[in-house]
Amino acid sequence: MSEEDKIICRCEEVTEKEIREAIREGHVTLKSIKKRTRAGMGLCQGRTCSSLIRKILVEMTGKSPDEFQPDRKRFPVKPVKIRDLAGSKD
Amino acid sequence: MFREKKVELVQKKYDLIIIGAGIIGLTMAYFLSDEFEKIAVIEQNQIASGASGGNLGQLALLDRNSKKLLDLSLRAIEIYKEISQKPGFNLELNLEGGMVLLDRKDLVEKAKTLITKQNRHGLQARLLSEKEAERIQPSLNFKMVEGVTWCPEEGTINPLNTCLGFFSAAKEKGVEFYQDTKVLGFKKEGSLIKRVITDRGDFQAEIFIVATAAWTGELMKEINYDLPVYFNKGTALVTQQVNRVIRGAVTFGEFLTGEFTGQDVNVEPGLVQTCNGNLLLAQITTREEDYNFSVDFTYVPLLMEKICRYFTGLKDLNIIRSWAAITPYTEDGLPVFGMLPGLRNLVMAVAFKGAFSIAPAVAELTLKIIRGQSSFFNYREFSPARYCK
Repeated sequence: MSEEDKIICRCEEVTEKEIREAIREGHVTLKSIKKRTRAGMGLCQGRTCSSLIRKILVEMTGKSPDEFQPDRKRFPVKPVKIRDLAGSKD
Repeated sequence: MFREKKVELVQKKYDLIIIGAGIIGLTMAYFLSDEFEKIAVIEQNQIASGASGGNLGQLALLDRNSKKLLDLSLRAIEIYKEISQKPGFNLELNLEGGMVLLDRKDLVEKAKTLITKQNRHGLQARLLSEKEAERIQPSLNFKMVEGVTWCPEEGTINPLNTCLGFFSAAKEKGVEFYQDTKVLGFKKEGSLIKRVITDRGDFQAEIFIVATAAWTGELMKEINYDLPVYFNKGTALVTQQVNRVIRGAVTFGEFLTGEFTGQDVNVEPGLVQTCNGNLLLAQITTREEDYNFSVDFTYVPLLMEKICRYFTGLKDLNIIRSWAAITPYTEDGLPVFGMLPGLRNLVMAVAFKGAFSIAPAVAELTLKIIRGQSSFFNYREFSPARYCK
């Protein structure tokens, strides 16, 4: 398996090749790459892939890792069932 | 006052400047590049970072409360069909219908009146019997509602893919994009806008299009126009991916009648299932005074309770993400589209309720108007002049 076929985001099955293509197209923030490729939109919400993508961004843009802030964290922190969120009947 | 963020000072000249890179601005850029040599799009954040990146992708027809809006929305669907055949456009266009849940008897009556009117305009919309509803939407608890409408010509689209498709295609046609560039004001001479002033320098152009959605009121104050374009915040939740359980777009009765605009809070079930299998669960609509995108947990339990009530089979699905976006509206429910009185080169194109339902047709129409093949006069019910007495 070539490096290019390596899966970066397991939840959405996004490969390293797709990430690199998105960066070449001009998507140079974690948020923009997420919108373009769906990397980080799956069940784990980017827990693993965001640091891998940041590494690729650093390598391809030559910028420091601090320049790539993660997309803002949003509710819920971990998957939670609809019925567990439902309020009591009013 | 705006020196801090100045990264690079530009002083550029264009034929046309579009302010706002949501679906309206992006489709305008794409269509108008056939007419103008040099176009720039100025966006304060990034492509589709407002409501164009946070909506259900619903293509609505039944709720179009004016014949002109309906005709433009029908045309928009035709354009999406044509464009989805082109390379680079992965729209995920899915025209499998749209359903509205009516949970009050008065909403059923209002829906009947609307259906009669829209049937005269050619739409196949109808109220469903319990049997039909169960066949079309097996996951719905029909017993919990007073009625259900179905409009088979409606559907959904992937909003992000659609925006990115028009963005890439416009860039290929030579349109220049300035993201993270905030418009601070305009330089006016007599009845002409000469330049827009941004935090990255000034941009000169012959014509300006304002496609700034929820930010319109604030921006237009800069040139002393007080346009009553308000905004709501819409909050939605995203589930894990599952096999197909929802067909078409499901929305609620107040969406049909426009009653939710202007209310402080409205929590009603709205559902769309994306091509990837995620369910988008809406909608918590809250009235906002400032530009606050954060997800407020307050009404999530109420929405989830309603989802459980109407779609009991979905209660074990996991919520994995949430988002919120602010969308513009006007009191009469009509867009603000046309020239501002007193200015000869500024076109307003904002407050299209459900902008994805209409955007490419508005852009195509704007091209025709600029070429002299149509006129804003034919669309005077949308004219900003109604607010500039």
